[in-house]
Amino acid sequence: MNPPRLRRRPDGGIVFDQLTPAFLHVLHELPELLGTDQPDVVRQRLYPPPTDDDQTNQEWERLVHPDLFSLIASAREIVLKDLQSLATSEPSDDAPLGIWSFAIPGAHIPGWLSALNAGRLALGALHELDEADMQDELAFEEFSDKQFAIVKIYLLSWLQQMLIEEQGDYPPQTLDEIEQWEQHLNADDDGPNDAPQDDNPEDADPSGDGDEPDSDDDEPETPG
Amino acid sequence: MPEPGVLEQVETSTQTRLAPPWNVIVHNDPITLMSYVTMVLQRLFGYDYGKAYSLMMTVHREGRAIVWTGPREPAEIHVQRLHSFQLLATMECTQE
Repeated sequence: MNPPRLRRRPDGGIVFDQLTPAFLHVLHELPELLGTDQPDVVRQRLYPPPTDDDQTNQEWERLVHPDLFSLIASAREIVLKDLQSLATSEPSDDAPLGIWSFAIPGAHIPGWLSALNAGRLALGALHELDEADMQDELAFEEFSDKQFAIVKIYLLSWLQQMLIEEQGDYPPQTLDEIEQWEQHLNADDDGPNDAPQDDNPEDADPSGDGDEPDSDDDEPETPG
Repeated sequence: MPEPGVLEQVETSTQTRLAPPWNVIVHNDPITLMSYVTMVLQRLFGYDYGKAYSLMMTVHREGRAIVWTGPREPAEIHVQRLHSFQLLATMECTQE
């Protein structure tokens, strides 16, 4: 069975091809993972406190969380809408349940990135997955709920990684960029936790459109 | 005509002190993709790939990295944006 593929449409959208039923199953779980009735453990991960000061954190909940809730709800709506466009090819010996594909309009890609990430985090929180869990080889003798969750996270990672590569502007392409990159890495070895002092960050919107050129990164890796 | 009297002169002085800067910190978590962290740092802070990658690796290796330092209000905005991408981010004053 071939792995899923992603192709760019002329209108800026993308199409996921060759999705197996396993991918479909996990994608259909995304809206539920992002619903409003999330368990506390999921909410705590998706909406973490910004400081160790209780008063500041309470203000944060009051002022900032509604916006963050809206972003997740918006991403969930996008997922629900796009999943309706699922189409299947005829079943074959190789794929008795058919091979599925679905299209994501360009304007929906940031929402999908957010939904895939939030869904993976929700699964991780629900099953209390830690660093060791995520570094285990996927060779389970008994399939527990926890291990099943890890498989789902990896399936979602695959799709998320393809979207990131489609959106990202890395890795460095020119010799100057490579040299600059290596300098950063060397500097990191000397003093890895230096604070950047830039005071003029570019604006960005997680639900906005990113139109950076292609990238070519490795397979999904966790953690970040 | 006012009576002559004693005029008290109160001496005042003003000291100004710059507000201490705040650090915006991204923390490691076992689920978030490394490439996603790098992409978010590029988008939010305008960092080139090398700088964003280097910061992401610091998060990965050391559990946290200071990704920005500056006044409190912009720091709050940065943390809010990082949270909107579901990164584990906090802020702390550089002076207690």
